Amino acid sequence: MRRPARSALALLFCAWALPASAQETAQVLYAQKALICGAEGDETINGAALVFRDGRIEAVGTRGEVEVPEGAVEHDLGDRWIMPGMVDLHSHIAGSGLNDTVFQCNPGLRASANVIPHNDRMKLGMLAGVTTILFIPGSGSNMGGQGVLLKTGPGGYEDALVRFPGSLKIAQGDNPKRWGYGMQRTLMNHHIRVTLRKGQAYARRWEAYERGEGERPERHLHLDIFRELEAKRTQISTHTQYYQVVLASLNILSGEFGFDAYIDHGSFDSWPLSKRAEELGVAAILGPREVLWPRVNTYPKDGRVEGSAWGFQKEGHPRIGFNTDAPVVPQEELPLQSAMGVRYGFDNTHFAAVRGVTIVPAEVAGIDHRIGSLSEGKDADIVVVTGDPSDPRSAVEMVWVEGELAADVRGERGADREGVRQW
Amino acid sequence: MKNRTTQLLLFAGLMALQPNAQAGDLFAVQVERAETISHGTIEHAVILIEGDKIVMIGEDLAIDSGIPVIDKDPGWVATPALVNPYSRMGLSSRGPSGLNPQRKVSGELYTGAISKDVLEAGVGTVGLYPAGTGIPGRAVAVRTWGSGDARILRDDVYMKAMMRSDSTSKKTWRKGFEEADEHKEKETKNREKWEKDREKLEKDAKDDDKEKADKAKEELKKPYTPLVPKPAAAAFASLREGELTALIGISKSSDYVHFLDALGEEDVQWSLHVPISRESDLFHVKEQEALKDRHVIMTPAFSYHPGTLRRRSMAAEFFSAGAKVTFVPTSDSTGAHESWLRDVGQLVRDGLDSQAALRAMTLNGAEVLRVDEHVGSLDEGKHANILFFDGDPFAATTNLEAVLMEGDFITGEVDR
Amino acid sequence: MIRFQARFVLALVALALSPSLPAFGAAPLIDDEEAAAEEEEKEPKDRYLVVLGADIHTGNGEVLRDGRLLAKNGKIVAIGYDDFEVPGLDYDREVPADERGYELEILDASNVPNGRVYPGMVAFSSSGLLGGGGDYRDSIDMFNRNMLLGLAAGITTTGQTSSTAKLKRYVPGNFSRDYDFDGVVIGGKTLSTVSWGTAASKRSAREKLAGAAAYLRTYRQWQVDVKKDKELKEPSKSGVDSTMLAVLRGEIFARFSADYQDDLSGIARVAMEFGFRPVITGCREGWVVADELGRAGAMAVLTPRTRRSKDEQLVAEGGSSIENAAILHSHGVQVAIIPGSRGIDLGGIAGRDIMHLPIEVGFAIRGGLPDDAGLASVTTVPARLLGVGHRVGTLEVGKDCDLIVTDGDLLHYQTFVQYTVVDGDLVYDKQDELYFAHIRPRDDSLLAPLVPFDPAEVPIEEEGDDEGEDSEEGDDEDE
Repeated sequence: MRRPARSALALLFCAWALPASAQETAQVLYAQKALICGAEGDETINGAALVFRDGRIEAVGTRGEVEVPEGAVEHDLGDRWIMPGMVDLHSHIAGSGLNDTVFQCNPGLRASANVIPHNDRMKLGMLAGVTTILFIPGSGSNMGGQGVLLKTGPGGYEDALVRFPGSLKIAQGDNPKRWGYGMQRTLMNHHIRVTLRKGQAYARRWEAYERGEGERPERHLHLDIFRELEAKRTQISTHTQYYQVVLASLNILSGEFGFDAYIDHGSFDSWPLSKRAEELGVAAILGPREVLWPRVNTYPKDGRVEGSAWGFQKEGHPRIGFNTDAPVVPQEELPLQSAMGVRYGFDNTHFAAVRGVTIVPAEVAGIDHRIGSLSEGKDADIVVVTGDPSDPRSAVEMVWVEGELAADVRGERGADREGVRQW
Repeated sequence: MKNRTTQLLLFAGLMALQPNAQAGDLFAVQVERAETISHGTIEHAVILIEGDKIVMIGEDLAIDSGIPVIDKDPGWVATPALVNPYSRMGLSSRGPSGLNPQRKVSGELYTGAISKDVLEAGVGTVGLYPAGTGIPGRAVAVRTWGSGDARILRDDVYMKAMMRSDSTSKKTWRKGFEEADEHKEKETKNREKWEKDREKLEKDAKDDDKEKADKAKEELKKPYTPLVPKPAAAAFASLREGELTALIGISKSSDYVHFLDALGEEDVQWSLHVPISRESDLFHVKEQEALKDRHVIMTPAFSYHPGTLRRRSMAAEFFSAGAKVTFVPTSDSTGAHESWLRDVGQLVRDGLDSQAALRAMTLNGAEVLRVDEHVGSLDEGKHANILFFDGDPFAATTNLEAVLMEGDFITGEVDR
Repeated sequence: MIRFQARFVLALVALALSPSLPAFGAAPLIDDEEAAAEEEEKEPKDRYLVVLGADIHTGNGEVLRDGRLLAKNGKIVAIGYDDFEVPGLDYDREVPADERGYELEILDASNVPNGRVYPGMVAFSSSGLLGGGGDYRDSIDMFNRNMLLGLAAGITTTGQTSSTAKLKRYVPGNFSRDYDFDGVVIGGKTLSTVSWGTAASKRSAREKLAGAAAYLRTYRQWQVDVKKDKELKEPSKSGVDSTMLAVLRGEIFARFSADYQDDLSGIARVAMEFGFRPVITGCREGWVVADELGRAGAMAVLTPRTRRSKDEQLVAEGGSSIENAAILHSHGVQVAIIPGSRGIDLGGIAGRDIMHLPIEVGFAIRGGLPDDAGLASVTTVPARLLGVGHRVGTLEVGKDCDLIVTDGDLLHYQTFVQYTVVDGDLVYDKQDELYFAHIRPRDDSLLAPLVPFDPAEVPIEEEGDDEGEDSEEGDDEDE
């Protein structure tokens, strides 16, 4: 081919191959109610309009006040509500092989290696409005490895990735005792502390080196996560419940080492430690057990059936969220967990239960700059529901993940859509 | 007996009536306090014992100088020996199921079944019940010493019945009564037949044929032989007549309600055994009419209101509701018998009336075993089964100084 | 001013413990013991229960806003407004309670926020609520905690393997009345399981049905022929499956357990061929063949949250769907709902056991099931399947007085049962039991007096009169 033709062809090819114009068409949603779940307590807008473009929310406010761009695609959702996509910080369904328990402490292992993006269970979660999950290793060992924050929408791993490492999974409950050889809490706590100490020292040596002080330290793959933790770029998601165990978690992870950590179960006797957790900045992401029955070996409830969320809220804890520990509770039942929290005493004023599955876990996981509320600049993860999201009776009709319509099950079966709704 | 003169006169009279008593047979014990159980506390009590019986008991009785007196006033507190009316100690735990009200546990007795430690712990009488489910048979009241049948105080003291909330238990009960009814019918019919035959025989006796007449006269001399009842029928007939009592073992409140349903309109003497567990639901039935003045046998343990740490003393609650609380040790082990007083003491410290508690360990148990004529309280004519403590029997620091059984000191060095 | 105690007013205080006068003429000195001994056999008094102060949802579509319900001796005798008189309330009020010939209990629900009265729910099946096994009349544990929790969840009747029984708890505070054993079991076996899992079992079922159908035809013919020829012998029943015969005669339901569309389709066909209405438990892919099932008059017992992906090897649609109940219902299939776990789960994971039955219904409604069908799925439909629809499932005159008072829409996740009544007796009061009393507690001081305050009736007090304090609190019972 002659050169000019080749260049022309090359140009044409480039023009074709280039991604669609940076200025995509905007979309606007008109809904009866928008649950903003904003961090500063802006809760709901009645008669709302939301504009999003390029996978981001551009504007949200009262219909009529929000400036709608020229040529925006309008979706009049009638009497439906819109809310942010939900966030579950304790999920095991994004892949398989979650419990590598050859060693008790595996800070180098990565759950990301096991991810099967948009698998059936994730898809079902997405259909229920759960758009972000933290996929973590199991609790069979003290440190299962590194979790990964993913979107549940369609696409490959890179499309789904929100942040890696999503967290360091630490389990301080009784499951790691399964390891055998009579291993009990004394050794397990000691082992965790030894590993954390080594990790923190490693992280500090690297920080010093990067500041220009000291020699280049050796690279240890299994301790790299501590660099992230020390720099507060990620958190420790802690499987912890029972008073004694939560106390150990608080004292060791936050008290002694100062890492950002959060409670990722918090059942049984945990809520009496709420004030201490609050002092240390430790949030309570509660589940799968939302209810505490009076039992012989737990704190005396005088016959009462208590909600764990109720307990933390009673003590004034400001950051209470819900999780499913999917598949223990199926991923798609995350809103039901918040409903059960409310049922057993959690005060749902200003939709606190909905905040507990959106902005609270997003903030706790350090991704609230892009996820967790219907706010300008954040990802367009938008869920259209027929009513109160915590109510099992409310159906999810549409789900956008980063501006892409991932699910649309509106209308009459047969007439407006083919096939049945799975959820 | 408060009047000194009366006492002296009565005493003298009694002495006069005595056949030549041997020196060893007759003695008295003076104690700081005697808990008679049947008629209250007697301060500075004097108990006169002859042979195996209490001859007299009263406040500050004057004793004839020839009679040895063990003076422990101040010092000793006397109570009747303890009675455990419901035990399987020393016996095997297996038994049959179904309707077997004729079985007697007395057949299982063997020497050495009851350890000497139980006797030395102050337990004088034990009611042994047969093992098994359904209605396994009849219990026996035995002394905690001796051998062979000499130990038996009374047999057939009660018929044990296990009651559970299920059809089998209720059917077993009803079957017993049905068999008694059946037998009664048969018996009536048999009697009628016999009487009819007699009429015919009387006619024959007047017959002209001498052989026939003589034969008839011979027949007429024979008395009526009642039919032999089936064992269950006999037992349930005895129950109806009050000759036999029943001890119903339940495990929870609903068993009790089902028992009342199975019992229906039958008028039967019965008492109840209720196990006390940590979260017992038995408080539901404590107000039941039928439990007033009824013996309710239980271990001296605390329960908790289910799901809470609110302690509940079933013994105190049932006692307040009017039931005759009767204690048994927490288990059949020797250790449980040795700590029995301490265990009951805890309930007393918690608020249970101490007289009721003592009665629950003595006279009430004797009543269940129907040997209350002989043991269970400090009364004239009853066996001299007496325990001597160096203080309040329920106090933690009190020791059992001496044990007297039917007039003989089992433990305690005493100088007569 | 007459003030009534909170929650419950027992108009008759001296329940059955009052000794009666001796039967004979009054002797001048009547010994108490004598009187007690000669107590005549008294007829038990009629007992009335009136429920007022809340909206009554009867269960068959009617809602009576702020209506009243009257029950006598455990059966509903009137539902309405003030179009009927309540003895002891509308009249006889001045007569002291123990002189009336009847007992009256008033359940005033006006202190329950958003109070609603619903029929007590019917659990098609459950485990552990009755405490016993086998014959429930003789094995029911009327003090059992699980029974209390079932009543707290709003369930008053439950199907068991071969019978249907009520959660007949003992009546707290009322020991004088004997326990009504005969009222425990209210229905026998109404469903007979037909195996339909393998080709062999399907064939066998068809054959048995065919045999029974043939027998019925022969029998019918004989009924005609025998009129002419009296000697004609009745056709023999040997070889005829008695269960299938009972099914065809409408004496018992044939119950199938099937999830896959092929099996369901087969059941529908065989039901239409032989003319009976099948009961199908599971019915996961029912939505695929809903029209066939509807035509067959099927009745389905579902768990809406059943999840299973479609078999990828099949081209046809399949798998589970949240719309299953709604689609079946819209095709005329009667739907009863049971939860995934049939017992009481104390593990702490809430929302999936029998105590959360309305939550399961909520998921069916998510899938499009209409609200009234949702309520029916735990009241009238299971009642009908268990053969007790003439007694329970709705609040109608003549039916048993089994009802619940809730603090909101029964199907809302936050709603709790405040009171439960079985056979006209109050057997559960949320404030009286330790389990849930602390959750959004009821303010009993909100009760308005039943009699409007008339200032003219109040005597003008002299200064210095010391009146005792009026206690507004009800009894503080621990139990």
